[in-house]
Amino acid sequence: MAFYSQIAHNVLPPLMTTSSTLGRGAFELIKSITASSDSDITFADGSNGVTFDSTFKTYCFKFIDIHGSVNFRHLGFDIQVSGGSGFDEPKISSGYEANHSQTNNGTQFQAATAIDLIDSTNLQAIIYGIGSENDEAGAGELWLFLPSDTAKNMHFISQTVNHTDDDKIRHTFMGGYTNEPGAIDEIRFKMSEGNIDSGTIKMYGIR
Amino acid sequence: MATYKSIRYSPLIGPGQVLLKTITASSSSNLQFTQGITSEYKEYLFVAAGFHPEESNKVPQFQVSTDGGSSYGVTATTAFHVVEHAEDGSADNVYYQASQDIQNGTGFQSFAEGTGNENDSCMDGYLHIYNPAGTTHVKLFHTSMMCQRNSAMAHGKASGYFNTTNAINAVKFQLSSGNIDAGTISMYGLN
Repeated sequence: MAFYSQIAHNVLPPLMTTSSTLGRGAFELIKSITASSDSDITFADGSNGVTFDSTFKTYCFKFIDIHGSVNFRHLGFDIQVSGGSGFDEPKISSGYEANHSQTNNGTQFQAATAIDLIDSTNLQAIIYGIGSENDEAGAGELWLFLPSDTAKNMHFISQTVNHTDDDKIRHTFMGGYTNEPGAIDEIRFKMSEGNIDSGTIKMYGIR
Repeated sequence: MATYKSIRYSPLIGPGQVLLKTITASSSSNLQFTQGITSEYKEYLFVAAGFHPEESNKVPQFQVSTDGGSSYGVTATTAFHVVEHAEDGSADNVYYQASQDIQNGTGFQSFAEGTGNENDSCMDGYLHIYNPAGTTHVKLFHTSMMCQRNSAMAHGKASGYFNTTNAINAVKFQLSSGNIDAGTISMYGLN
């Protein structure tokens, strides 16, 4: 029985990535981490089997049933360049959201100004206002483009959905870039306050 | 030399996306996936390609089941917005579309506005459902679907949650009325 790494590619790989942009790139699972009351989840190149370098031009992170310990808190990320410390690279971002109340308190379609950043080292929130009741959670994906390129700023886009603390569905789109030259080889996910009680974060590389 | 059919994927590195099933429409009233949605994958992706209605201006929709497809109608709350642009440059808009969302209801969720039945019109896009077999949280999903109608493009984006902690194990696709003339829907599991 052959393993994937042993295969000479005499067939086409799966035809698609999971974004709206279709292609023929292999979508390779690098690492999956399941939270258990963790203060953060970090993917660092060379640590625990993680590859986060020029092997892949694009990386995708998937968030599945993220549940925080504190009500109305956001899952976000910070990044770090190779050799850096403190996860304090500045970011610029903007986004928008569509939300709809389960209890008929209306709809909203608006800029996500509460979580955009202006050359800030703060946490970049991507899942906004997750409720902490047992059945409430958030999910979605984050894409990083050319994180290993030392000549360009790294761009990112995210799309997430969550059950909010006030019983809404919130669909949030964020985009931005890191204003820091240097190869990025670490990313840290955490809640804006409290722990990640449960949930899974998966890291994929796209060649 | 291994052939594709004999691959056993490495548990650490491998294709994250596995094709589980493809259904092709042929004047079909609906397309259902009633097997293969299990705890084996934490995310499922459904990709619609060349989805073509027999009648014009029919809305593509979906719902889910917790009883293997015996019934569809799990309570959901959803949001829906549209980006549109006409070939003549008019209707260059992005807006929330309240007529296509669901507020704590059991109806089918729209993917997009009505799709034309001209030969060159169709609908393409995808649906993500996260952890459908989970029994702790609600079931979150989002969609992105492009359609062409009346010489204009409309990109519909729906998101929501099925408000159940029961496992979802079937998905049904249909039009608001009439048959699906042609097209495929493929179901993928993401490792």
